[in-house]
Amino acid sequence: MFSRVLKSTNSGNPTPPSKEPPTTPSKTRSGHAHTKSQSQSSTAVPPSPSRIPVPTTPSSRSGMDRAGRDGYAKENVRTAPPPPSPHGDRSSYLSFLFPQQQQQQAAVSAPGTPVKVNKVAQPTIPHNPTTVSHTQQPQLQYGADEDVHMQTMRGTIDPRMLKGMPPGGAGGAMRYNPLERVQEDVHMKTVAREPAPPPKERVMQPWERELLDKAETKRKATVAQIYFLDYYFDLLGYLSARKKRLETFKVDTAERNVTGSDYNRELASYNGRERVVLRKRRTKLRVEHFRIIAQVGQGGYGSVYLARKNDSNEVCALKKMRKGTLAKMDEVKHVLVERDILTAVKTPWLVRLLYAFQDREHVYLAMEYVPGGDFRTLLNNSGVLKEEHARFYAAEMFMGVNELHKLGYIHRDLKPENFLVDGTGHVKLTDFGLATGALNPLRIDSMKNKLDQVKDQDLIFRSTLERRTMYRSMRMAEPRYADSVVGSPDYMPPEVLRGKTYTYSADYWSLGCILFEFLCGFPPFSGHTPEETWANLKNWHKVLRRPVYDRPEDLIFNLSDIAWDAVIRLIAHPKDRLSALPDVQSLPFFTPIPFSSLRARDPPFVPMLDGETDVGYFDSFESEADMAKYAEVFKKQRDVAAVEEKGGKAGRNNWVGFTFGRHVNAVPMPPRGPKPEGEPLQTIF
Amino acid sequence: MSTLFNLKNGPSRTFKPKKVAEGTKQWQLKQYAQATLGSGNLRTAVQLPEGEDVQEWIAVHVVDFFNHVNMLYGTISEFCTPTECPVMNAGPKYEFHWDDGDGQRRAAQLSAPAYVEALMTWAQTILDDEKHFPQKIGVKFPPTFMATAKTILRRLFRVYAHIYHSHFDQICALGIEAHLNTNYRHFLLFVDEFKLLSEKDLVPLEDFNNTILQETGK
Repeated sequence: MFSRVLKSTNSGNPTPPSKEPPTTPSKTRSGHAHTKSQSQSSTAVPPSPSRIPVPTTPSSRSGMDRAGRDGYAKENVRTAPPPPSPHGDRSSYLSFLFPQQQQQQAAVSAPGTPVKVNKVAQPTIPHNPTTVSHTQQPQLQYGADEDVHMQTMRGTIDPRMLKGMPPGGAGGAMRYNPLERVQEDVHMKTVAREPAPPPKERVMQPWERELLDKAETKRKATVAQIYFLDYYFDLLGYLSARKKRLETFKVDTAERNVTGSDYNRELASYNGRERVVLRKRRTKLRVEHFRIIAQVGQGGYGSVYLARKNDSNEVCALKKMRKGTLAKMDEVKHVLVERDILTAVKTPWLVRLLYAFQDREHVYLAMEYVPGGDFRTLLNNSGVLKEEHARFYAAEMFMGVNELHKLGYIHRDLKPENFLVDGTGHVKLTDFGLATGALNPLRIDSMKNKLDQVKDQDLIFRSTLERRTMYRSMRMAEPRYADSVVGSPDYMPPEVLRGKTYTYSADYWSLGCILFEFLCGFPPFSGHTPEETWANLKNWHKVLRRPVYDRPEDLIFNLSDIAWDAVIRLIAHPKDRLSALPDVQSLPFFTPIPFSSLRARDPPFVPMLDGETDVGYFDSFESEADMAKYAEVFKKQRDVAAVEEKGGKAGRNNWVGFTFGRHVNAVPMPPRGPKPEGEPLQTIF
Repeated sequence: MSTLFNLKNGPSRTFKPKKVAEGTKQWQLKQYAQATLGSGNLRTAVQLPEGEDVQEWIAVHVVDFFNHVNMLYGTISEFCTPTECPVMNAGPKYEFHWDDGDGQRRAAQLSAPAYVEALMTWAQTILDDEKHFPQKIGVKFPPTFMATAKTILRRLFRVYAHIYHSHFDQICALGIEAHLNTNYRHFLLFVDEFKLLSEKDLVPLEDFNNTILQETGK
């Protein structure tokens, strides 16, 4: 707020700050005037502290020589003569430093209204008492002055710099500072040829505004804000805790009367432990800090491993993705969104992110390991679920998706693979990679094309039994279809496939399809071939039929009326579809379910786990039989890799702000006595 | 005060980070940061903790500042293009040329994005190098460590200076000027505390620096 006020204040100044003239390298590097200005400034007026001093040596070499002394590459500081108005529009970067003073300003000025409170910009020196003190004792007395803000601002942003500096227009400049004159000499040609452009302050160019409006730009800014808050919170907390540890150490040794060499030994040991903690604070998290136990997943963009972090022994699912592949497939944004969602998560319904880190080639997400496997595996094994089990799992899925919606995201590509069974048998949603504001436009185009290519005669009507059998055999042939790069459209709502607008209810369509599959053993629109599936999706209202079994042994598979009612309230045109959790909860199908205490209920199935690193519910990536399921996934991955051209290098800026979680948040055990548990906040102030 | 650390939400329909709800960690952070940063605490925060090794203390800060610069520059990197910033500079008075240290060529005049990319890649390599920044417990720093640290800090400073001189409007438009200011202040107080950069190194932001140092009761 205050910075805004200050900004508007500035922009309302009678003499707006001028923009620096564009650099003309040949001019700015000319060094001949430097010595001259030096001598002049030292004889006439002592340099104001706000002035940028002119280098003593005429050549830019000096910068190079000095820079070359200490180690690494030599580097050049090319110093050019000061411009007429260097800091004109920079005054507001001081805003943060003067919260109280700005508060006063804010009190007298309506935000957003240009106010003439800032005397800084008054160009004429006689009105500026601080310039006098500059000559005596620069800046030292400002603190005592009543008008601290003004004074300091003057000391910082020299009023002379804030002048418009029209060529030849400001005689006053030469009057009070010979230094200024010299600079004008140096810059005379430049200034004359290129009059100072009108102040650009806060007026963004169209291309800038376009960039500023980009979700990606905003995302980076938000991530940076949170990052710095987090950093300073952590840093000050660390310092405070450290101080307490030292006090505890001192009290403890005093109580035990430890003195002399004993004390020195204990102190050295204590300091050594602190040093270890400090060193770990700067140690970057690397994949080497994890021990890979087993691979538990394989997707188009990377692999998922069960891993254990070396120092803390935490077990996690480590998702490893190649930067090059992600860039190639335009999926960087999706991974970043996934990271953002995961870092925001504090609910048992969504998988938690423990760490995010990267190296040159890969990005990694270390997530909570959910040992019970995903619903694809569960469905592959169980076929059809009992209605009460389907009710339970579907209800839990709605809760998970609702958490995602509460965070403001729509998944849009929900499928059984996205739901995991945790160690207690309850459901967790994972894999939010697609939950962005926008699907990859290429993908939408391709989906639209596929829908358009479908001809009506492609529509094949099959009996329920046939479809179920067909789907089972397809699943046997290609059990991990959805993991491949392209993914399957089976559960996607038509409005998403067509690239139309959609709302949170898009995810309810997908959940309706999953519920259908729970109850029937196959998803509602799966066809024998991808073309058939597309045809079914295009004609979904004709294809969606209540499955009917007439063979006596199959009668138990027939859906109850309330179950079918739930399905068609979800798999429906957007305007008829349920779109809020309360509506779902009040469906007759779900009334037996206590939604608020779902996680306290006994689930139908609890994984039998042999320790926290049991991977029995995942495919074995050492078994040839299991690996054969992934043949298609691997093939598509190789295809992507083959056309990969964007290497890791281009990606630096893509991945800024990805890293999450400190390597070490542990504190060392104090030598003796209780572990300090106090609030770090209280001692800092 | 309320917008000092305001989190900007996009108008996008589907991408809506929630408002910072009271009681959440983010809310807590915000309250805390508002109450703490901007007062004199950073001056205390940079001081060497009792009993700590000064090189260890500097090393952790060099890594932190590298990450901070990476984060800050990342927010405006889209604006810092070879067309907009054809030369790496801190205002028209100071140009920075890149010398990759191979002794073959003269320092090259690079565009700001190319310079920053070269700088960050170079710094990253050193920070990841066990010889320069040992990460293993008990391994000592090399005798060249202080020189290395100073060189990295001096170069990181140039990115701060470039951001202030060429991209501050955009930083403001993105609502992260307070974060930049706090972070730069932290940087300056740190290099001042241990005299890691010379006045000359810091000249491109001299006025600002003087204000900070004076304001924090140097």
